[in-house]
Amino acid sequence: MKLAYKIILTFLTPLVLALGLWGWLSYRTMSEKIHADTDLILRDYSDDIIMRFLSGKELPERFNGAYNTYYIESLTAEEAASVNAVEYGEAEAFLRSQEEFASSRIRKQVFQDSEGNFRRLTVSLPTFEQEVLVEHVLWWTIILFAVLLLALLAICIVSLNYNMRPLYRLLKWIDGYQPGLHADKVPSDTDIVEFRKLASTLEEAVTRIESQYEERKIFIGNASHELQTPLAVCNNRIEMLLERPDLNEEIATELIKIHRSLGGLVRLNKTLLLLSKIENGQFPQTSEIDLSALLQENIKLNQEIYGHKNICIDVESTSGCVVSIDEQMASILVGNLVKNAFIYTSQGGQIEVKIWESGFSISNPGTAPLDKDMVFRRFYQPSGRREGATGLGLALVYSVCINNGLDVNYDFENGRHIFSVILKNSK
Amino acid sequence: MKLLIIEDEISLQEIMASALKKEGYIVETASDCKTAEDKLSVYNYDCVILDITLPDGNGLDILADIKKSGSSVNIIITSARDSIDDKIKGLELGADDYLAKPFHIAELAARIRSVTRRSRNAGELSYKAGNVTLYESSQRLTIGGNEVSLLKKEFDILKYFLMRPGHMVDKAVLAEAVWGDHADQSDDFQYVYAQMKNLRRKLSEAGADIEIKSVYGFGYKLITP
Amino acid sequence: MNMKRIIISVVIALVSLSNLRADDIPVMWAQLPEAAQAFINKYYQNEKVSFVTVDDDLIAPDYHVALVNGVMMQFSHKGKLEKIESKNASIPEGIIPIQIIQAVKGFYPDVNILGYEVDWNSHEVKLSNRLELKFNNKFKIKRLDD
Repeated sequence: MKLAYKIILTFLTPLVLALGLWGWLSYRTMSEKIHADTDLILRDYSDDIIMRFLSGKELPERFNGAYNTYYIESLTAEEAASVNAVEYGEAEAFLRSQEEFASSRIRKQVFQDSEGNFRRLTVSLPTFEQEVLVEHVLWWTIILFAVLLLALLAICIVSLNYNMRPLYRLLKWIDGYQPGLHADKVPSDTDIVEFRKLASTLEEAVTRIESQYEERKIFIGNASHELQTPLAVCNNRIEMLLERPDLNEEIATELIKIHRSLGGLVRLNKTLLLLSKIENGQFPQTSEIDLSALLQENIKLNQEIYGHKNICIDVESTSGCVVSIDEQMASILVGNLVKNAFIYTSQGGQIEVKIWESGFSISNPGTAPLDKDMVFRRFYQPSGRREGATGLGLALVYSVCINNGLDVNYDFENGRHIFSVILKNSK
Repeated sequence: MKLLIIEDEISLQEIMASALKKEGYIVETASDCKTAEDKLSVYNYDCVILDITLPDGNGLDILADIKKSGSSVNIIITSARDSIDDKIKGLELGADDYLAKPFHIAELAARIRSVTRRSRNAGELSYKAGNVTLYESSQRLTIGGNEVSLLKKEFDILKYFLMRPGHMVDKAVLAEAVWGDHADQSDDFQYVYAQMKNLRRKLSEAGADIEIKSVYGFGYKLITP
Repeated sequence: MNMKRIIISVVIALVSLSNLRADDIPVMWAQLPEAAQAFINKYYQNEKVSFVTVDDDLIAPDYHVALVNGVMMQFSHKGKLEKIESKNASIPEGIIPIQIIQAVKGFYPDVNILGYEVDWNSHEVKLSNRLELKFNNKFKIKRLDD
């Protein structure tokens, strides 16, 4: 889950529990205090009556319209000894003025008068007011607790999201980063130490990645370059040998095989060089190229070359597909895709080409899907090395697309390999 | 004809010199700017093959100097850099052709022929061998004085061989040259055989005294009388 | 898990402290502090005791004593008089400081003192005309209450 919510959860859960506990204790304390006050009132009431009784003064009216009431009973010495001298309790007392019974708190006290007789005084006070009060306290405690909880939650969420913004900005930047493509600066305008550190470390890492990437590119370029001359020299020497009149067929065949292998090497080298040039953006010149026409051209060419395979082509074209791209790049893109389709379609198979305004797709029959992640990588040859194949055809296609605002995708559907190229700013 | 090869890569220089000598040219070599300039000031050449990536200077400067001196020598520039800018600049400065390394020796030979022939023929560029003459821009072919019509591919194939008579051509290289970059990876050259068969038939029917022979089963050679 | 135990004991303490109901327990005369016993013997030697209770307070319990003549007294846990009350003004001499009696006589000459309460910084008297007077330690009037 998101960090923000995790923090809120771990922070709020104990806090909520503590608050809940506090709320409950607070309610209990208040409810106890309310009840305790009742008891104190009862005691004072009791003391007053006893004092009056013992002093011989007039006792208060028993039913005076107020809800409290009392009565005094006499006890024998045995009875007095058998009960508690002071007792509190609950009872239903009859309220004369209301002519009904009400829950009350009662207090009983045993005392002796001047003649040594035991008396017991019972005083009572209805408690419904206290009960109502306690109930209100409970409800308000709950409501306030809920409000407090919601407020805390809201504040936490807002505060966390606000403070996490620099982090989210960094994460967004990371999502959009691709080595080799010139990225914006790492966002680091924040005063939070940890995020600043993250940003600066990220910046360093990116700089390192970029420079390594550059070095690698330059290295490939240089290596290919350096390889060209010795390769050419070898090739040329063999060509010269092949021209000698004193050759016999056996030697010639061997030389031819070497020549073919060298040819493969030269091709590979050239392709690597081409790849590195494309990635370096060395084909900035663009013109409006109609891919539709280019496709048709290449299809015709390949039909001738692979005529022996009896492949059937189905072209569905709704409109021309015009792209701003270097001519050579277009040729590489279309040429490789079409050639691949022909090479990998077996005898009598069918190739389908669809062309529309913002892209095209080409599909050929296949047995098993290719690895989506690897298919555009250099030197990926799932069906084993093909004689003379560089393994770079699709890598070239991918590179051309990336550097010209095109999207290229591979899918395997209904037993067909489908490659599609789509202009980036369209659906 | 006298050629000057200006190339700092010794093995390449050696190969080029030996191959062109076999063609019948007189060949001189230079490995750096200084030697090249010395030789150019002393001798006249028919064609200069100039590598523009020289160790002690830029080949393009030598090119400029040659043109400035008013010499009309043919110049083919070679470069390992394969840069469009070099090509454009070289041609603007007055070079006759640009050849990117690595190249087939036969290709070099063909270019030299083409360049020297162009300067000799005031009119249209044509390739001749035996009684066969092929006219480039008008896409015409005459054998023994008679017009012969060929299909486009047949025409291109014949032209390719006429540019490098006597040289052996790998059929894969032929396929790449005539059908484009992607033709070389086919494992079946049936389409090449088909065209070759037709071409040879047409040539023999028209009484040509040149022949395109199959060599060692993997290539062809144009045999001239 | 020391932390857990601490938390639990705090909770229990809080819960128990919140139990505030009046818990007066009847006790025997002998359980009264000595000073209280001495006081009662001094001023009410011949009076019988009606009841004695103690406020069940953890820290400083108060003792309530009622005599059969209707006098009620409250003593601190040390036995010091805190409050004395009677319905018919039978508070013996010597309990209320003379300055207070004189002051009261000065304000209300015909009034009786029915009750007297004393703590560490004030004295309070309840008068038969339903007024209450409060004095500081120097026996100066602090406040009049009705």
